[in-house]
Amino acid sequence: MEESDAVFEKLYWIRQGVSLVLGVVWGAVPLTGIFAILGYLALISAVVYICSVKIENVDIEDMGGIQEVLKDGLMTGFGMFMITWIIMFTSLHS
Amino acid sequence: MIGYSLIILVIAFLTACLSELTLYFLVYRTEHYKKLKLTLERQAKKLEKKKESAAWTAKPGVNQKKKLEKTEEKLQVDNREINMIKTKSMVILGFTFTALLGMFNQIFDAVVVARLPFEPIPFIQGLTHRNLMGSDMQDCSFIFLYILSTMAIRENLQKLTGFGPSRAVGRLGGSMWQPSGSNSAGKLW
Repeated sequence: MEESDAVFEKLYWIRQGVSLVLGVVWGAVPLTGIFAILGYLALISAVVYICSVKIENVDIEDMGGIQEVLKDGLMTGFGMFMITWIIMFTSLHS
Repeated sequence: MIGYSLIILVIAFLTACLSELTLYFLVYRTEHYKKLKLTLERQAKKLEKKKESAAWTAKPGVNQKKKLEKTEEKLQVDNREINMIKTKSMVILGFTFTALLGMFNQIFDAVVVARLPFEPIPFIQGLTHRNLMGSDMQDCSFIFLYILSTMAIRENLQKLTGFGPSRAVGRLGGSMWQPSGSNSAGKLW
């Protein structure tokens, strides 16, 4: 369990970092509307899944299933994405 | 407009810092809390190991089951106690920061602090367009940006300072110790 905790922790910070970068890119391009949000959610889920399976080489079932992996840190990451997206959009396109 | 956004980001960061600092002085640094937290984490890990070994056994004995239940009960009692310690301080903090929020609300009353890159659904328009004139729903109010900033900053700050909830205890579920964004998203402070 301690091993999976360490992986969860790593994935948490990867999610925060990627969310921040995506927020900056989405705001700079700019991508707007509900599809931009859905695009973020799809991309971040794919990144977290790929990182856990391909890079960390963990068995998803050992970590409590795909749902657990995908929802860990989701709201904080989403907040991070939204705030950087809005601030970038406001500063460059309004 | 971007100046307001950055000011709100700084306000959210400072209030999160202040909140954590207050909790540190009122709760985290007390011996009672430290001891309780350590015991709780140890017990939670022990329980997980026991559960794992029980899962490997084809038929766990009655004694083993009873032991598991007893440990689980003790863990829940400790968990409740630690929650109580935190709750008292959180209530005090809640009152303080509600007053502070009221003050900021007045300062940023009717001020468009950012431009949203999306049209908010009607369900959240009360927040995104709160106290704003005009009908452009992409204009953003103070409170919405503040909530988003707090959502992004608070848990990361807790993780960085090491005062975040332990995952082993969080797996017990149903408590404010639950790790990750599952419980802190709606919290303002």
